[in-house]
Amino acid sequence: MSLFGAIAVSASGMEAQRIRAELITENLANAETTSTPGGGPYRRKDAVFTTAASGSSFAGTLAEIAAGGSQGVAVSSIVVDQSDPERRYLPGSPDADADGYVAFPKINPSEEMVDLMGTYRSFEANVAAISTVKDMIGRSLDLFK
Amino acid sequence: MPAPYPRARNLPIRQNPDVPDLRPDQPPEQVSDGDRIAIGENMPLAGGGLDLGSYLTYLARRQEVVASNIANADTPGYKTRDVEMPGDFTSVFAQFTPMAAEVEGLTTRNDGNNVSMDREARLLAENDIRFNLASQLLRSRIKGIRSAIEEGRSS
Repeated sequence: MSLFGAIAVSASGMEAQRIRAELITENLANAETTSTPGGGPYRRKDAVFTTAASGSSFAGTLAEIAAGGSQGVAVSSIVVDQSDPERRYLPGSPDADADGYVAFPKINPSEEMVDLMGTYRSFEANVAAISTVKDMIGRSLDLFK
Repeated sequence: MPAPYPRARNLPIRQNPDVPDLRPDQPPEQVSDGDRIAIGENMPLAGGGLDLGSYLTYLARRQEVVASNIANADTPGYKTRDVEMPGDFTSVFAQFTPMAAEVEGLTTRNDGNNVSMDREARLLAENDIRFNLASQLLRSRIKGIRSAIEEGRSS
């Protein structure tokens, strides 16, 4: 398509990484949340990425598919961790069960931080791609000077 | 027998018997395709068999595919894509958008994704430099045309 198509693709990557970063910070913030409106402790969330046509119009999307390339990225779903929560013995807690155990979210802050760093790096890579493409568009415009 | 060479606007020709008629009655010899590229009407921008405009189009397309690879660096199952540089720009780029194909020989991770950020960063920089070079060349050609239009008075 065009250089502007490249910007659209990178922008979709930035958006997807931003959503992922939001979920990671949500996980970190709720690492100790033992009660939620739905009952039970907070459950870890993660974004699932999928390729998506980045074309703004039907014809543009069709042309992209026909040319077999340049796909953007989109968050197809947000998965919620369904594994058993971690149980800690805290008999005084109002969320404790009959045995005195409290269900805590199964969230490892180190793991979340590493994911957050990965998200940041990917976001940075998309920004670098956009700024390079922006330079190229600028240079095309310079042809008329 | 070729048709007689058409006179300009079919104006009546004033014949002076003392001056020989220098205008040819025969059309000029046919030029070969190779000559036509060299001396054709679009020579200044697509001359020398090097179509810089198409090369820029190719680089723009490639940059788009690289951007797509970077955007999908965390997408499970995504395979790195690239556009091959065709040997002959003039014929290939006239009609088709260059096709993107999957790249062989990259390490695939557990989630089925094989985007190598190092490779994409290199291509991003490489394409930028190539684009810079080609646009500088095209610019100097355009400058030459402008200089001819302005009879060499400027630039």
